[in-house]
Amino acid sequence: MNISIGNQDSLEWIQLVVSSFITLIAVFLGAWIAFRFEVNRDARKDNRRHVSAINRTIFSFGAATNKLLMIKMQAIDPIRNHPLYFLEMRPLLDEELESVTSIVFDDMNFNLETEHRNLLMELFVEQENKYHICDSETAVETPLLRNATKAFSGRYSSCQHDRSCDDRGAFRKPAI
Amino acid sequence: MIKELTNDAINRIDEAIESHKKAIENLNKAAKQLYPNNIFIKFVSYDKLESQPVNESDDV
Repeated sequence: MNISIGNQDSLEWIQLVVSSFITLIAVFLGAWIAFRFEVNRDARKDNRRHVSAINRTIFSFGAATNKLLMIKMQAIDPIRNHPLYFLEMRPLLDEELESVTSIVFDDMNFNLETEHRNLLMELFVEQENKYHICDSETAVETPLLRNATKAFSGRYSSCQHDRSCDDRGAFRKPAI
Repeated sequence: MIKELTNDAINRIDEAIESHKKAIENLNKAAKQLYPNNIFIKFVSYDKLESQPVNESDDV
């Protein structure tokens, strides 16, 4: 009699353990699936964000390339073989060089976690070197010189700049 | 001096065009590797505006 009661108790206990275990497994599976679903959703969202950032960057560089190409075709190529090309070159407006769109590097930071880490630096160098804008002191009234110095790398000092203007007899912005 | 500056500007523009093209190419390659199932901007030509007339009012 005692044995049967003991068996019944142990059976109930086993049933309890099994049902608890099944509940535990079900809860775990549910949580795991929800977690995986959330991870996948985040990954898809990141993916879309990254693709969008890449496309924006490609567009920025495409626009910049197009702008430079237009300058080359309209201002440089027609006078390239002219003996006095440095005087004949069509002046460029500031807007032609300055309105080039820029890259939002925060959006492209994900590259640092990929095998293409150097790409970000390459893009940064491309943008910074080619579109360095000098300070206003060097913005003299000779469009050609402004083209040479203001837009590209600021390698020349304002002193050299002024001397060039004097050589050419160009109007120089008075020092304030 | 003006001649040097002009030469330098011309060279820089030429170099900038080439390096920009290269940067876009590298960016496209990297993008394709990272996200092979996505579509990225691919430029067939950078000078589509070539056939458009130059705006005379831009001449200074």
